[in-house]
Amino acid sequence: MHLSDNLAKLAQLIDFGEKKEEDSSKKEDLINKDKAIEAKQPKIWPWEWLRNALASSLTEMDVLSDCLAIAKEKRLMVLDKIGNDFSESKSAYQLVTRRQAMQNASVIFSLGAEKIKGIHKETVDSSQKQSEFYSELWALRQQWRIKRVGQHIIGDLSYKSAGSAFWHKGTFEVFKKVSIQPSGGAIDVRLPPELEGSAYIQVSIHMTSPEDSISKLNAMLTVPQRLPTLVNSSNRWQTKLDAAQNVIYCKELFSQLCREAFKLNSSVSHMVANNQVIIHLFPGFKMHIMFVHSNTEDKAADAVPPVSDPILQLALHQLLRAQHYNSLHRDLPHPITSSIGPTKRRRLAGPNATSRSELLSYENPFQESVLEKIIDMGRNVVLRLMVTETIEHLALTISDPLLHIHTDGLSDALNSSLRVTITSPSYDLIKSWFIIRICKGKVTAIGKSGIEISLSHESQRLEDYIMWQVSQYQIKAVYRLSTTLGCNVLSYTYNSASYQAEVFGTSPSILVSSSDGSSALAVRANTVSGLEVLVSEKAQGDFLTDSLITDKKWALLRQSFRQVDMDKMTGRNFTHKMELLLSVYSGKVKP
Amino acid sequence: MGVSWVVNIPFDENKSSQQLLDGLNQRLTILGAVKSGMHYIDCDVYQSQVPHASQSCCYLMHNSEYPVTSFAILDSHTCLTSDNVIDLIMMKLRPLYENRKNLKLECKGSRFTLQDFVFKSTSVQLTSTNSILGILLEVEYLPSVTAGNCYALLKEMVEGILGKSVEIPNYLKIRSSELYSPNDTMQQYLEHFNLLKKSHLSQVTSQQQS
Repeated sequence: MHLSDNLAKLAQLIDFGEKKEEDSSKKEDLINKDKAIEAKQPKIWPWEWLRNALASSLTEMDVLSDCLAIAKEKRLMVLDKIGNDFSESKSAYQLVTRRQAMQNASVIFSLGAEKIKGIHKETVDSSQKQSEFYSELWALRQQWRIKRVGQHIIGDLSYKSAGSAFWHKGTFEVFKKVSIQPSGGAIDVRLPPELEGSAYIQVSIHMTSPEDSISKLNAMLTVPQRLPTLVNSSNRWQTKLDAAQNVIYCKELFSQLCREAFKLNSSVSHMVANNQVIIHLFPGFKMHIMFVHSNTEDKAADAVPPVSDPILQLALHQLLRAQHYNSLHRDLPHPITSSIGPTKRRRLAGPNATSRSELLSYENPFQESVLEKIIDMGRNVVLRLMVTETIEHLALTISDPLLHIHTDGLSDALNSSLRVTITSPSYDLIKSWFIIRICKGKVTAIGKSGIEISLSHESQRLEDYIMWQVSQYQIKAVYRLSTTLGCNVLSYTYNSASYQAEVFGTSPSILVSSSDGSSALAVRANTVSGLEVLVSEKAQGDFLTDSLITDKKWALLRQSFRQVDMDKMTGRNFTHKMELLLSVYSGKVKP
Repeated sequence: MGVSWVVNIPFDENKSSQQLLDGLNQRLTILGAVKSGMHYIDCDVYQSQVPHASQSCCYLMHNSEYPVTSFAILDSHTCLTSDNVIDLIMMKLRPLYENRKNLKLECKGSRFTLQDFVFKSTSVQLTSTNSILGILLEVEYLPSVTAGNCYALLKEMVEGILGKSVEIPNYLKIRSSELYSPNDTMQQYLEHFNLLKKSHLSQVTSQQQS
């Protein structure tokens, strides 16, 4: 063992604390002594003991500083650490105490952490709920107009901003849900009672013939119960508001229709009863426009008929929408100082001294009421059906000339037309056509010559017209064939009145003679009784032997006409048969 | 819009004014004219409040043929053709122009059409007294736009109806080559109104003096 180690060991044994106590006791002794001295001696200086204590500590400090100064040079004195040997014996005990202290601290920490966690959770929950409410409100605002009135949030369902002038306010209230449901959302809406449920408008056309009152034609119009939504359909308020807006739209539409039905002057007045408007389209045809509003969803589902007419469905929507649009969008420009509404011509009518008749002509022809338009559309539906049924029926029954039907692609609800071409198979160059136009509740047939013939809503008239066109075509085919084959056309009349009259229409006829004039062929196309083909040939025998006949031309006198039984003739169709017959007459083919 | 000629039908001593009017209407229907509604003209008189003003009166007239128009005519024949709003403006101008309600005239009658001609036979009366001052017949020829082009036609028509020769009024003669406008019709009416009013007042004063 070195000397230094020994010294360190000895130094460890010194208990500095003990010495301190001794010091303090010494100090106390000193103080007591001082007091005793003070008591013995007269007081020289009241802070004498303090001065002495300071002086002694100053001496100690001096000594210490000297020691440190000497130790710094490291020649005479060295400072050395005292070994830990003594502490090692206490380490186990220290470990235990330290552990316990740590444990205590950890318990405190975990308790505190839990407390903080709880508080945090509460605040997060409430803020999450609040933020959910706001986000949903934000989503609502993107779809609907809402504003804050006092403590309430009021929304607007009406079409007023789109140009509607309907009396209904169409407001709804938005409020926060009290009970939290997992999928319910944070917002609920409250609707006025008259807008709850679902509504639709149904348009049906009934045929009321005296024999059977069963409705044959049935065009159902249903305004879709809910408009397609782009947002998440899980939002209950969205479906609710959509349905309510639909109700308000249907209400407006129906009230408008009722008002117009009262105003509209027609030969047969329209009926408005409860929730139904009955309109007379044609004699025997009625259109029912019904407003159905059911408060419970189940009932609505039962009542909705599945049949719907997409044209009429669009039509009513669009008509009212167009009216809304027109009420907002006025013709520009208009002066700032003038009231919005009248057109420029109407504004200038006063200073220009426009007469009454001119003012009446200013009435906008496009401002036709919704009802008038829907009546026209309804009429067109009836007429279209009539025309297609008639033509289909005729195209099936008439087999000889073929009827090709070409419907116009550019048709709308108020205008549609179709073109019927009449041809024979393998004689495509010989054709005839006519156009049938359905416009604003009227049917007009336009022939090849451009003459317009207006037809009624009864199918018989159209049938007659088509039959007449077919007969015209047949005679035309004979004419074309005879000119190409070199026969002489003696007469060609569209409307011959030489024979007994038909029930309807006029019969066209043609008279053709052979190229040498020896024989003749007459064709008559009757609209009802069919075709008649008659032939007459040169009289047999030698005419010139008779002394009475001097000129050779009399030999060409023909005998009376004999009818040809077309059914027994060979040939695919009438045109083909006529071609065969005429080719014999033209002298190109020998019989 | 055509050219109009307003003729005063003189009173017949044997007939009342209503009988005269009925006779005129009957004659028109016999001609083949078809009744096509009523005709109405009124004339408000506004007296200027400015002393020594050259234009002492303003006549505000309305014609049922031009339902959205008011004609404001001064003594100098200056005419303002405007919207009906001028009626309200005249009310605002009360310090400058005072409405003389007792001088308000109106004429009511029937309107007849015969091909290109339109006839308006009306009786003129003071609104305050309801006494008939005279009978006016307006003959309008629709296809023409200048008076000069249809003098002969109008003259023949008017003479045919009245059964005696008539002179074309000076007012039309002066404007024979100008474009005819509705305010020319109103000016003619106003001239007749003023003449009728004057003769009526003179009658009243002579009656009072006697």
